[in-house]
Amino acid sequence: MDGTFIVANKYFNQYNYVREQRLTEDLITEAVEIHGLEMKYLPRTIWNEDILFGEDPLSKFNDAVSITLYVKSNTGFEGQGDFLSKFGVELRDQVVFVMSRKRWLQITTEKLLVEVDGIYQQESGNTKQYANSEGFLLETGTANGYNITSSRPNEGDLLYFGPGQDLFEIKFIEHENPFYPHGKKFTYVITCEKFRYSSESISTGNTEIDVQASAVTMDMRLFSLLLEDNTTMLDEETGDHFIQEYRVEINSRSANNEYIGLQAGSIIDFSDTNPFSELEQ
Amino acid sequence: MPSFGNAYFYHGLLRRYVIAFGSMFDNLTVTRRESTGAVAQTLAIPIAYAPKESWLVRIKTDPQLLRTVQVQLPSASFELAGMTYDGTRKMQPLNKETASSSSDLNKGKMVYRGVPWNLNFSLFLYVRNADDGTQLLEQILPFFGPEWTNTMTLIPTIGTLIDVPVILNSVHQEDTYENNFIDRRALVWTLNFTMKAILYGPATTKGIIKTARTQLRDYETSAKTSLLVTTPGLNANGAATTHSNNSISTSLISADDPYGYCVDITDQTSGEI
Repeated sequence: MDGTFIVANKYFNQYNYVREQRLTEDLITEAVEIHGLEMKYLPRTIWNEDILFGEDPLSKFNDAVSITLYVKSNTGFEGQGDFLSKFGVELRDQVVFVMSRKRWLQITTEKLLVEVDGIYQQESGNTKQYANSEGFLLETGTANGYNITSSRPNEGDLLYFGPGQDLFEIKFIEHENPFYPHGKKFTYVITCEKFRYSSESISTGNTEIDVQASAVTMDMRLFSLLLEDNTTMLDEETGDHFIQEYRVEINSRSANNEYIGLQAGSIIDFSDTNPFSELEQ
Repeated sequence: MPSFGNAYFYHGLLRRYVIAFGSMFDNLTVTRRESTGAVAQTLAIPIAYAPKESWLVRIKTDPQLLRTVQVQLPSASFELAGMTYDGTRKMQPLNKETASSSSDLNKGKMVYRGVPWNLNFSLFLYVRNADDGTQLLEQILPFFGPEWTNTMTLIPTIGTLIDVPVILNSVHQEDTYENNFIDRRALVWTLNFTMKAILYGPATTKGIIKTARTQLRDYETSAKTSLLVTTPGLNANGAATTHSNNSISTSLISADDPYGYCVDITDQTSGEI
């Protein structure tokens, strides 16, 4: 919630005129809708936070919420671009989006109606409207199930950029740019970089996103042996999963584990125990 | 092109050392646990030799230009960074390592004792989470005290097994966590190793000495007194014998056979055996 400006001159109210603020907010929101792209917002669920190291390797992304964002860097991605590092090709793309604050509040409350011919369709008997009388018409009575509880978009959340099938991670959200036009903030300027993926669980229900994520996860447990009833086969002693024959190369195109292992078989005498080759799964 | 008077030769030794080094780390994993302690994820760690042709990496790792993410972590890579001669391991250069020839029983292969070189390797571990890095380190460091020794077959035609120690020299962490929220945070562990390698010259094929003739003479007159002829002895059943009369032809005896030694002594003063 924005604070209230105390105007210096009572004859010129530049900052606390609500109607002008609403007009500006609607114009900005409309401009974002007109010139922006519909993307999917994936909120991060902190699952098992590591207090010591300040991280959450088991983060989950269980929702994909539609929202329109204006691509500020519309001439192309920023950042270092495609970069050949010690670890293969890294796509160090960055991009800056502009999000309407009004839209953010909307997706955290109710799902927008489907737009047809530029007009949001109103459900029969639905009279609920967003926030004030100038707002967009919203669907009511249908729990959207979205798991967005934050009052603002958060660093660490993801954005799925459909045209390039890219997952971007929000690195920073500038909340004061533009700087209080008419005394109020109307947008978030969101700086993202392409997701440095560390096999976090991505199961949003959106098939396109989930398939993309499943193609790059390195979690071998997704290859666990299943019993006839589709439950996971467990080791009776350890309770651990039995992993099917797994090749790192399945989901990592840069991996050479299999080649190196095969070649080493004719070079290293494995009658001496190689501690790295006998890991129990 | 002959080198140092020898015909072209190449054992692929450096390639073998690189493979051997990489194979020590090709089965690393990272486990993530729920708050209850139950295992939630077991991540395989991809590893590759770091320096590569950029065009090949590009077309092999992103052939459709549809990669969804920047990079998959954790990830490991390694490189041969350099090498230095190690004079402390220098050995008598005229010693040889030999092996019999499977194609010709009367010939064997030989290579002079190699020269000692230290190969400097670096292993890079790129993780997103600090805990992933600590897990990887704890899978590696306990095995280096400070060396781990691989027993390697360096020249397959010779077949000698050589112990090759790999010494862990240092572990360095790079963590660019101080930034303006927008810059990338890169958490990379670099482990520096020295591999005590040996590089060999050309392997040559030589005839096998199967007959040793020792001529004995009278000390004062220099007249021949007796002749000792030593040959390998192997009977037709493949058992060792010390009687040359019971042995098959020496040309049929391999250096790897369990032969005995036949010593035939000719008394040259009387002509008796």
